[in-house]
Amino acid sequence: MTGPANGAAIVGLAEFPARRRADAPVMSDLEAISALAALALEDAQLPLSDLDGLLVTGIRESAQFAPATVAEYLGISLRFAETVDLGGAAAAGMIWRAAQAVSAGICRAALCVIPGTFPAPAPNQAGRFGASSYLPGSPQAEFDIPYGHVGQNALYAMFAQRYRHFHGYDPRAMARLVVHQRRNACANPDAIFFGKPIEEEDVLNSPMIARPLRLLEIVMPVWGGAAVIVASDEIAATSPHRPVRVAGFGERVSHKSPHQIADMLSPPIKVAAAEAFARAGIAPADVDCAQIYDCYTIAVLLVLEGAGFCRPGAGMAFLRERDFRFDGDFPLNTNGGQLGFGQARAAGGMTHVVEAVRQLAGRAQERQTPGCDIAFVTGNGGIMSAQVALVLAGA
Amino acid sequence: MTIPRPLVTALSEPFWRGLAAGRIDLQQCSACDRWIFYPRPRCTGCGAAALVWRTTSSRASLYSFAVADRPVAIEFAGDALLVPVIVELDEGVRLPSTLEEADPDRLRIGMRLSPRFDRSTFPDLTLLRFAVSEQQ
Repeated sequence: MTGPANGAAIVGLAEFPARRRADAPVMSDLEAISALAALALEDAQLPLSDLDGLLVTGIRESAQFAPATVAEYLGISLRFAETVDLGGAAAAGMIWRAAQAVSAGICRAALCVIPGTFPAPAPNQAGRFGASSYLPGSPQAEFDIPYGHVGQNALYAMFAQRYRHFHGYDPRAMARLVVHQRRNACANPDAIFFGKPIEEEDVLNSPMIARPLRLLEIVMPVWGGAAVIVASDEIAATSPHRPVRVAGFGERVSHKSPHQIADMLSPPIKVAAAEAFARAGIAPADVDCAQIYDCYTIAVLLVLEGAGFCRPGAGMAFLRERDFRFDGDFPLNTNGGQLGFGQARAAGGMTHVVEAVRQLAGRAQERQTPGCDIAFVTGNGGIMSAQVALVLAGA
Repeated sequence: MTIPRPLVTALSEPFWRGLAAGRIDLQQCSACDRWIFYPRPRCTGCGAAALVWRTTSSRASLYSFAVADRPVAIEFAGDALLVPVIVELDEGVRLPSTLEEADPDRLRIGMRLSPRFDRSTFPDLTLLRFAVSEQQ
């Protein structure tokens, strides 16, 4: 199957190679957005003046008016200006919003861009507790943060503990997933762990961070950034690359704190993915590659089950039995995922989108999955709280 | 470093007053009977502005837990092992807390918990912590 024309397609992409903090250049978000926009426009063979849509996350330099600030900085005039505040789900959330705006004729070419450069926010700012806000009136400031419900590690561990209680937990199955993704990273020169294959024992012997989660089951922060351009069919018709359609999408945002989730073992992705598959008119078995948001191994497991690639409770067996390498029987996070590529702040969500586009356009070079026409992509913001699913199809 | 103080709001003041008196008082909707946590102006079940403060049973079980083998933040890097938990009251609401005197290897989802009213962390504010109940 290939994606039928539906008024919009992804026609260009950009991604900075991941870099460690020590050798990362100092770059503001605006400078990074400028560089990513130029790379994406060059990739799509479009002039700057074609951009009339912009989707950004917040930028560090300005607490408000991010789209206007970016438009002015780049020198573009926007028909569609959007801030998408969904954390790790922002990238996937941007893609379907942009596709809808382009399909509706609101704009012709929309830049979806997320910088992931340093410096990170200063330690004394309100964002120092990870996804939790310590501002007056914030429920997290009153009820979560004083009890140490902060950051990400312990909170994702709660999902893992609950999974363990009901379905069992197989550390070696999780380690195998990490190993396979690392193999994919070793076929991606831009990945932070390129040239560094590991074995299951390396994962199982890595330091315990919040049991059962070990260090190598958790993403490493890196410097980076990524962008794509979503454009009209008219523009896509002249694209130098195979255009990529947004064949389906779904989004669910229902809670912020883990204690407010309806059911930890049935996260929002369940309905988001079902809606994405329904809109695309396909089933999970039709997917040629999956790019699943992987801040933690447990996050991947819950999405594999929630999206219907295996039944609830069968995720560990799935991880033991399937081959997740780019040439395996379930190509997953073929660029290494964030576990292998590194997590460049919220741009970590965009790396999954960019990799899906590369695979569908036949541009993944030595890690190309053969015959890739349909990709499943997810985003995950906060602690399994804002979740987005995309079905992307080569045109 | 001291742990971050709860930023109390006027709306939730009865909750904190209840803790100071050794009770877990929460809002219950008089239209649909749903209990809610944390305090809000309206019921999250039916939207009615009919929430009434009532005293819960204080009976609770463990919904999930984490063991901070590495400190979750510098403010919590003390001597005691932090065990953040999500507690489910028998009334059907869940709330965040920590477990006191917990043996991490013996924790089980669903085990019965009892409240511990912590008056020592802050001189003027009682925190709601939990411990594993003697009777399971």
